[in-house]
Amino acid sequence: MSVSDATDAYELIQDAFNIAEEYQISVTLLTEKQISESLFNIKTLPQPKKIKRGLVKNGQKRYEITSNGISPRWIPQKGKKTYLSNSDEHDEYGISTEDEKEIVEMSEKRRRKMDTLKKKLPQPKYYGDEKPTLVFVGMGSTKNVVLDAMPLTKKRLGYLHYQYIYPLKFEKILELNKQGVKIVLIENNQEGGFGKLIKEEADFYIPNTLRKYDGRPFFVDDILEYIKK
Amino acid sequence: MKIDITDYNTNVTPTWCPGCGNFNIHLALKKALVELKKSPSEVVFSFDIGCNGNGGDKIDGFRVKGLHGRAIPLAVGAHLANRKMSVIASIGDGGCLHEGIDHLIHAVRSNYDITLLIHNNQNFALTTGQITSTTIEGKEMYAFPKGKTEGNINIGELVLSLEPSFYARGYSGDIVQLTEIIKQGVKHKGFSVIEIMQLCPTYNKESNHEFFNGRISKIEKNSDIKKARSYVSNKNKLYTGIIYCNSKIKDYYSKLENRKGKKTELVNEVRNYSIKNILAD
Ligand SMILES: Cc1ncc(C[n+]2csc(CCOP(=O)(O)OP(=O)(O)O)c2C)c(N)n1
Ligand code: SF4
Ligand SMILES: [Mg+2]
Repeated sequence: MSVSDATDAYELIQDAFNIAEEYQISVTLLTEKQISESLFNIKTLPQPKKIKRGLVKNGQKRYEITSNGISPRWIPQKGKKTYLSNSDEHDEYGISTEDEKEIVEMSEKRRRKMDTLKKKLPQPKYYGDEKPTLVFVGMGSTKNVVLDAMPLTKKRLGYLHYQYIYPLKFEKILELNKQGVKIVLIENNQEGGFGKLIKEEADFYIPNTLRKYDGRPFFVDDILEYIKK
Repeated sequence: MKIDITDYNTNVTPTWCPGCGNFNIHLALKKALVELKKSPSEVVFSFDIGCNGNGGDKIDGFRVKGLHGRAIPLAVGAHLANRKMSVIASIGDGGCLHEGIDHLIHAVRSNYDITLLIHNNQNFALTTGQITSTTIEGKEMYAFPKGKTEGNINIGELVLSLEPSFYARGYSGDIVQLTEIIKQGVKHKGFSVIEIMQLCPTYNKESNHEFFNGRISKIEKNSDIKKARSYVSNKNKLYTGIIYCNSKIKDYYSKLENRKGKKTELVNEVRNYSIKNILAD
C-alpha cells in the first residue's frame, strides 16, 4: 500500500492493520519523505474505521485448509488450544512436515488467501476529465502534483491513482488502453518498478513514462512541461 | 487441575541424534514448568532455527518458530502484549552470538521479564557443524580444515559486562540442577539469561561428558558481580549455577510511565484508534 497525503496516511494505516490481522500476512505501507515533510491543511479527519482482528473464540486447527485460504486465528491465552506458528512448512496444527501432499495443500491455501484479498481490495481511484486524452498512472505523492496541474491546462487530463499496489488490480489500465487513451506511467525513481509490476501482473507494457530521479519530488511544472510535448 | 509432565508431550518423534543434549534440556524445561504449576497454555515458547529450534514441535504450549537469530525479539513482543503468559526463548550459540547478537545485548539492557535458554553446543549444528564464536580456537571444522582462525566470545563475560539482572549456567548432562536453574530463571522478574552447555556428540566430540565432568564446579546463588566475573573467566573450571542475580534492577514494563496502574494487558486493549494524544491542540 502507498500513501499520498495526510488523510490517506491516517486511513490506510488502519486498513493495513485490519488486513494484516484478518489475512494473517505482513503488510507494507509505503510513505515518502515528500509526504512526511509536507504540511497539509485538512478540515477534519474521517471517522476512525472499525477494527477487524479476524479472531475466532475457540479454534482447533490453527492452519486449517479453507476454501478462501484464511485459517481461524486466536490469540494465545490460558485454557485455549495451543499451536505452533512455524516458519518451516507445516500441517494444519503447525507441526513441521516434509510430506509432498501436505506441502502443496498448505502452499495453495496461502495462494488462495491472496486471491480472496485481491477480490476485496478497491479499484484504483480515477481523478480528472471524464473523456481524457492522457491519463497518468501512479502512486504516492505524484497524485498531488498531477491534480494540481489539472486546472492549469486545457488538456483533458486524467490520473489513475494506486493506493493498493499488491495484489494489483489492473483492469482499469487495460480498459483505458482499449479506449485509445494515452497512458503515461509517472514514477519518482529511475528503474520504474511500478511499471515492471504492471508488466508482470497484467502482461501490459506502458511505453510512455515520466520519471524523475534527481533527488527531488515532482513539481507542477514537470507535469505541464511533459504534456506540452 | 493437576499438571503432569506428560501434558507437555506431543506425538512428534524427535529427530535429534542419539545422545544429543537437547533431549535432556527439554526434559529439564518440562520438569521446571510442571514444578512451577504452569500448564502448556500459560507458556509461550519462542524457538530459533537450528537443532535447538527443532524442539518446537516436541513440547506443548503456544510456540513460535520464527527466523534464525530472532527468537529474542519475538519473545519480547509476546511478553509485552500479555504479561500473564510466561515467555521462554530458546536459541543456539550460533543464532544468539552471530545472526542475533544485537538482540541479546539490547534485551539484557532492557531487562524484559522473559527467560532465555542459550543451547551452547559450540557450533552451527543443524547446518552440519560450522564454527561459531564459542567453538574451541584452532578446532578443525567444516569449511575450516586447518582449524578455526578467529578468537572466541565468552558468553558469561559478554552478558556480565552488560549489567544483567540474571545470568546462570547449566549443563545438559545435569537435569536436576538445570531444572532448578530454569525454575529460578522463570521466577526471576527480569531478563534471565541461562547458558546451557549442551552435548553435541555429532559435531563436538571433544566437549563430552568426561570433559565437562572433570571441569564443572557447582556454586550457590551469587549476587556479587566481581565474584561472578571471576567465575566465568576461570580458565580451568566451568562454574554452573546461578552465577549472578540482581533483583534490584527493575524490569522494562514496570518502568513504563504510561502503563502505571493499568490492570489490563495490551493484547486486550486493541479497541479503537485515537490519535488525540499525539496531536497538539
Ligand atoms: C538468516 C539465516 N541465516 C542462516 C541460516 C541457516 N542456518 C539454519 S540453522 C543454522 C545453524 C544454527 O546454529 P545454532 O544457532 O548454534 O543452533 P544449533 O543447530 O547448533 O542448535 C544456520 C546457519 C538461516 N536459516 N537463516
Ligand atoms: S547435530 Fe548435535 S545438536 Fe544437532 S541433533 Fe545432532 S547431536 Fe544434537
Ligand atoms: Mg549451536
